[in-house]
Amino acid sequence: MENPYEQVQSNILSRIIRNVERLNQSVSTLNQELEIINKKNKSLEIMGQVSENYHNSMQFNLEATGNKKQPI
Amino acid sequence: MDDETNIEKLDQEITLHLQKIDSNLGACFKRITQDIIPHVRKYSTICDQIMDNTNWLSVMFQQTANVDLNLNGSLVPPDQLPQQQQQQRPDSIFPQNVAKKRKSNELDSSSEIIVPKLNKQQEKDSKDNKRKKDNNARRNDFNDNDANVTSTGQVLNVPDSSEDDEENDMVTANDNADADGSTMQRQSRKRKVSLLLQQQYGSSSSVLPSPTIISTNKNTNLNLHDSTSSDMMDSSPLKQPSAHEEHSTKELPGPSTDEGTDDNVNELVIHFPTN
Repeated sequence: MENPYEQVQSNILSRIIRNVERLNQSVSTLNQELEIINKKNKSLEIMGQVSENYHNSMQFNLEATGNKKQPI
Repeated sequence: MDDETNIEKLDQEITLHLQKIDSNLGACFKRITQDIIPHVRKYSTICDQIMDNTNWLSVMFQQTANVDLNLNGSLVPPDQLPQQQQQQRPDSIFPQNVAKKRKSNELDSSSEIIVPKLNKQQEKDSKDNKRKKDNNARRNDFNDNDANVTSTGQVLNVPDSSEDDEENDMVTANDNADADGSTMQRQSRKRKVSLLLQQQYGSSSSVLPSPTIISTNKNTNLNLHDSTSSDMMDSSPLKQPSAHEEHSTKELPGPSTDEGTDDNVNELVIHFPTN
């Protein structure tokens, strides 16, 4: 009776604790998903670098041989 | 009075703040679980589709450069984790390990001659066939392999090989009309091999006396064998004691009762002493 606010505050604190627990679990699952994607994307990044290098080398080759044509 | 009002105000502010905290945390949780994680999963599926579509390109670049790229994303070097290698092999044809240069392709080694040989044959071929190309060298090698297998195979095959060598010498003598250096070399090789075998087997055991010893025995009037060397092939224990018995009988020709009395050197003589 002396502390009506304390009851309300304790209830709110318990809800806060429950929400934080669920939040932590969801964030951990999100982190796992992102790690998987990151691992898979490393190879993709290598492919991107390879294709970029190929593009650059092709550009240089065409410019050197004089076969480069203007875009349509 | 003012203190109590202040306390109540503060308590109300505390509860409001706590509710805000609770609501904010709830909202975060909801956003994460309902919006972000599904979006990320869609992103992962699309990335997988992209990787599947572009894997051919990676394979092509790897083949052109003879390099194996580390496409699985593992940070551990391949030597430390052979299990990963075994798990990754069914995914792709090429070993997915640290970038390393492959060994030379099969085409590079096709210029060399790869022939399964015996040791002696290798030495002879290295000496003789350096100048020749693939087909001729292979013919020589395979033919000589057969001859050497028969001659160097088993103990029992030695006299057969000696006969075969003689026959082959006769045949190759006829083939010499072609005047191929390969046939002469075959003959020389076979002769060498036969001589080596004769030296080996002649010195080893008395079961199969070599033709050289037989020829020497001829000169010493033992009359052990005729033109048929197959008698010695059998290596029957009866005939050698008979050979020894012939020694004794010839030293004492008189008192021994002989069934065969031919003492000619060139004929087969078997004495059966019945003393």
